[in-house]
Amino acid sequence: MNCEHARPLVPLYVDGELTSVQSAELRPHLLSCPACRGLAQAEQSLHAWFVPTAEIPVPTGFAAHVARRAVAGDTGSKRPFAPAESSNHEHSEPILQFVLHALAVAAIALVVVSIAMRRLDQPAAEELKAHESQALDASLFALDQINREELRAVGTNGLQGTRDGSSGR
Amino acid sequence: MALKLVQEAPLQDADLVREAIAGNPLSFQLLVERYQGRLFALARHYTSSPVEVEDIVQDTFLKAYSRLDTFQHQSAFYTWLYRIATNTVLDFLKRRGRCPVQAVEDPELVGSPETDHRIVRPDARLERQEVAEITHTILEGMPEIFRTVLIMRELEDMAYQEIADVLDISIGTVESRLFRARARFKEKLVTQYPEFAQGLNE
Ligand SMILES: [Zn+2]
Repeated sequence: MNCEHARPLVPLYVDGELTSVQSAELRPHLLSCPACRGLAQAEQSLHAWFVPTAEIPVPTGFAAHVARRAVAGDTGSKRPFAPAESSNHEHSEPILQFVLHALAVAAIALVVVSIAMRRLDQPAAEELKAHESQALDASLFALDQINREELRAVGTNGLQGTRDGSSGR
Repeated sequence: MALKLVQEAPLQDADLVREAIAGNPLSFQLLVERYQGRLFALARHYTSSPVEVEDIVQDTFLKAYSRLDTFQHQSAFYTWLYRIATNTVLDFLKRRGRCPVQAVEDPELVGSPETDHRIVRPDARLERQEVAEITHTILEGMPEIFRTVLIMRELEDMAYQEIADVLDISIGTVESRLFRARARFKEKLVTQYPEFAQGLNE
């Protein structure tokens, strides 16, 4: 194999996208050709920049909350996104709208719960206990807060092992 | 409807989707539980705000539920979900307005960059979190078509085929985008952080 053939294969090699036959063909060339080897190293060096960042934990009860909203007919797209943490000028959702919405969700959740409790005796159903739906408006409100506190608690030790950028795939 | 939820074997995604469409909200909740962690991690690559991450993931699941009946079972459920998540993220970035306008330069029209032989490693003095922040900042300044492939390949560790499936583009396009994205990333790195990019004079 010559450089002309080898060069376009190098990024694929680094990404582990070559077949074992292709890799076996390319490897001897990389060993004998400093230019192509340098290219492979250059491609690989970038991996070291992509390290896992501090994880954002999933808030407790998130799945139950989302499922309730989904079943309540919330299709997501119409709802405005919360602003970034730093800005607070558009964070004021009208309280009445919020309460009505929470009540609607709670009502549907209660139906869901009653159906679920009749039908299921599984651990999954425990997430949908009646008291939880009664406290739904409060928990909706507290969700952001909990989330931030958890993140703060995780804080420094939330980092996980980095990918070893220096070794090949 | 049969009570599949009480079976002992873990339910397949396809079964849960069918049950959710049939009106069983717990099936959908199980799907959310199954993939919420991965979607939080995914959204985290685009924003470091917990509130924004939660919004993106919630919106993704709400959209998924509302069009669950359009899931064709031809691809894996997660691929389908991932595609919705990606669109939600891109939509979100557009609305937030921090994403570079794509019209300024159409990256698909930019010629293939010169093969870049420079080795660019993070300076050893940098903490891991600092490296992550630099990378995040550079990614934020990139056109989204480059940013998405880089995140999928480098942070999500996805294969070319998976990226192609999610973005609905060919493997060849994934290849060329990724190639250009890396060249661009490297370029920005050495321009914006020359003091932290090691080994430039290869
Ligand atoms: Zn060569």
